[in-house]
Amino acid sequence: MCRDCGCEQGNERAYFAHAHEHPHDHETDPHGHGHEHEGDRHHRHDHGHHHDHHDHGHHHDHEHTVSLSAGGREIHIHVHFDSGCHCEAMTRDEPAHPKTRTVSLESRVLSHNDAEARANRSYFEKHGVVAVNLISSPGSGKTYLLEKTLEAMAGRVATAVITGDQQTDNDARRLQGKGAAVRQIETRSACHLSAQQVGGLLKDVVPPGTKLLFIENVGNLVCPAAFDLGESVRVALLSVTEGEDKPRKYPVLFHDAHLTVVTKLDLLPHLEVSLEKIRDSVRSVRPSAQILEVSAKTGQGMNQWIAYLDKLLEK
Amino acid sequence: MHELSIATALVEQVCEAALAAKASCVVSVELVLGDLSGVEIEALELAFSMACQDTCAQGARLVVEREPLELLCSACRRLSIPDDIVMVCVHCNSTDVEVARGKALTLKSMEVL
Repeated sequence: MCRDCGCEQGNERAYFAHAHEHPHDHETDPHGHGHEHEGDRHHRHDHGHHHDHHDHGHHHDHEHTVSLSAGGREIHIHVHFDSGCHCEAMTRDEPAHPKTRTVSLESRVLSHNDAEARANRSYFEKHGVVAVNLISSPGSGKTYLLEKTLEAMAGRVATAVITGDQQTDNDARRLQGKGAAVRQIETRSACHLSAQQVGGLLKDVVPPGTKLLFIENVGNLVCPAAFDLGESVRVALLSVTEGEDKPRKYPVLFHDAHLTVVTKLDLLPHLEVSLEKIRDSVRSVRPSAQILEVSAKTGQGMNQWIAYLDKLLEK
Repeated sequence: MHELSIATALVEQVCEAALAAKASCVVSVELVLGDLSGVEIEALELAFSMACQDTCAQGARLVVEREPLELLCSACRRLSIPDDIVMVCVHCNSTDVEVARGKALTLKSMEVL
């Protein structure tokens, strides 16, 4: 119902910018009909329309230029009233004020990344690849765990690694020569890998026959958690030096992770850290969390980690 | 600062939708942001204003509707909103809960001219 006169035509008012062209004496017109001016160069366009509206047919000659402040500049936009209510509030001689209209969208902000992730996931499913997205803060031991994992898998499972860092291919060089295809993504300023970046490498790095792909994400506890890469499982790493309450402080990653691997167990004798408190912290954000505790250096817990991966490969 | 990636994706979607709706400019954008979305509102607001530069959404206002974390308890079958991001039912203290709401990162609507 119209807010002003109560008629049944609704209150949408349907103000919109014209889609047609006018001759302009301006050099540029970046937005089609709505265009910006620096300063106060008002102008007018004349265009008449005839509207038959509910019980009164009437003729409007619109000659209005409407301005509103946006980004510190004046934007001049022509609007006219198409259908909807033309009650008294809108038929006065005074120029109409622009009213916006609402466009309902209801879409995921990361829908583009989600679509790329779905494409990656179907690639993995089609070729029988288990993709493991490893996420942790920098320095928690992702690369070292991978080095030892590749050594354990070599000759047994066709494995590939995509590793992301902002700069350098140091990690890729560390992982080469261990029987896996390895590719580095340098993200430059980005703090996470995107599904598109991973997808662009799949044909080269994960050819048919590959069974296991590790995606070593950019070291960061926050940002990579928001981006689905199409992985089969998401694994969070947490080294014992990082503090017992990290999962509580960064709940999104540890909530979403299928598995949390606590690393650098060999450092425990040097620290006042309780493994039980780390486990409690993980379970406070994911009560059903699966947790493994390893030292890639001494090999403690590595059998369980390899067994976890083997179980994924059986599925 | 993944908020810049998110803001860029947001503005791309907004401008595509504005074009489809034959709008000439975007006045405001309404977003639903869950407590478990991993996105910081202040960082997103800053990133949004940067991402809007030289687009049809330049100067657009970002309106953020917060979606609290809401849990559905499998033990008592009730919904609850915990004070903190902790997966425990407020009613019966069970940890057998699932996230009912709170992960949204949704472009809800926009106001256009």
